[in-house]
Amino acid sequence: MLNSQLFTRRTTLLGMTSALAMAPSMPAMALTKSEAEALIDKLTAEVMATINAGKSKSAMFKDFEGIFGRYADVPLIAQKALGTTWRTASASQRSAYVKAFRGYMARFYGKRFEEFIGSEITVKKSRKTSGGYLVDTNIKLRGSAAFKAQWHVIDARGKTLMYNLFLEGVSVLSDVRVQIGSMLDKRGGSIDKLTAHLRTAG
Amino acid sequence: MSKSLFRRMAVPLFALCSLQLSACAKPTGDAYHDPAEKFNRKTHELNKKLDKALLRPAGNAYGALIGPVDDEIINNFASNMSEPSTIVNQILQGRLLRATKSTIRFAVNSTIGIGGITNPSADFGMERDESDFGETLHVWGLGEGAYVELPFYGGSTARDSIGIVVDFAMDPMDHILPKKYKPHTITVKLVELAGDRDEYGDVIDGVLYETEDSYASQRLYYLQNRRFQLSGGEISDADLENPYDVE
Repeated sequence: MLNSQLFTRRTTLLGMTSALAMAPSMPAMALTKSEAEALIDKLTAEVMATINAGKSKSAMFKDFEGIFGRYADVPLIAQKALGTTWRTASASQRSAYVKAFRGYMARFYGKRFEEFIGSEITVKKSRKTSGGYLVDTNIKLRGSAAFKAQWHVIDARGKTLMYNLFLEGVSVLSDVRVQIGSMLDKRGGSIDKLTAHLRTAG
Repeated sequence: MSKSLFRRMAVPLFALCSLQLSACAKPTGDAYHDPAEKFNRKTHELNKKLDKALLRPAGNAYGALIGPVDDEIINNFASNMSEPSTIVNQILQGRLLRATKSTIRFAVNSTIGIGGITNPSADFGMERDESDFGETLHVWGLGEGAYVELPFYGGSTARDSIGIVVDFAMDPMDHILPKKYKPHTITVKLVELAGDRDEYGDVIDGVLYETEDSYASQRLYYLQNRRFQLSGGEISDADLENPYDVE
């Protein structure tokens, strides 16, 4: 009896140590459904406040860049958009690219967000998914049918952040990957030239 | 749809599927099958020229000439005209509840809605629910096949192109309305096309004239949006990129 208990405890202990050893490669799943939904609530409220404030374009893009930086996992998105070129880039090339990418995203998508002036965004539901939650929202534009925006929220090294957005099924991450890939091709695969271009593009 | 037409369509359909088995598996995420890319890109350039020369100016003219009230009338009428085709497809898909709802909607809008120029069924909470033969083929298990860009029309797939042809050939509206009205209904559809170009003007301009590679962007938008539509507005786990799977 005692023996078997010990044995069970030992295996549990063994199991725990191996789980700990694996921990760095496994995402910590501390993120909850309500945290994911709250993030999207706050994020969309900030975006709508910026659009409806009637600021100048450059002021609006600056706000968007701040929001994107605070709510999204920018380094991860930038890395995913770049693909294999990321692997060969140096640390300083990477950080310069990520910084330029953040501004580009704010301008490129910021322009498109302008169409959402006066619209209403509501969180509908969410479900657990790869590395986090997919939060469904409805965007109701004045005078036209509502459309669906789905936000992929993840646990990014302990922080709750947005990872991807699907607009009527179209992935923003896929979209930006097509853009970045094309820019990179046109510049002979040079990340430095790409970064220089991204500083003003969008 | 006449029997002979079905027989004529069925053989190439199955030939297509058996020839491109990989394309019949369900593609996800960024994946696409575009063996005719070189040719498609030429069609894309042609379509951009057509848009600049015809469709965009027509859209602008529509925006300038037609007020919001008339715009709604035209939209309602054109949508109501496509309802019988939706109903037939929903029956072919075995979605009888949706077909029944569409039939009621068509009946209400064609009568109380004065021949479809108003949309009273929306007031009863019956939102429009469009379908097409491309979706029917999807329900029957046919994969999307190769991506194609059609002249005048834009992005499509092998399966959806067949759908367009079949929908055009079997439009039940041809049997409902006397033949002499056909030119008028075609006119309304063309006017509605200009209206759509106007309504989605900024989005279309964004895709065609502001992206780095408008062909690749349009392909992505068409495929991902269509797959989303056909899955009933859901993103599958396979479509979600694993955030932790890094290069």
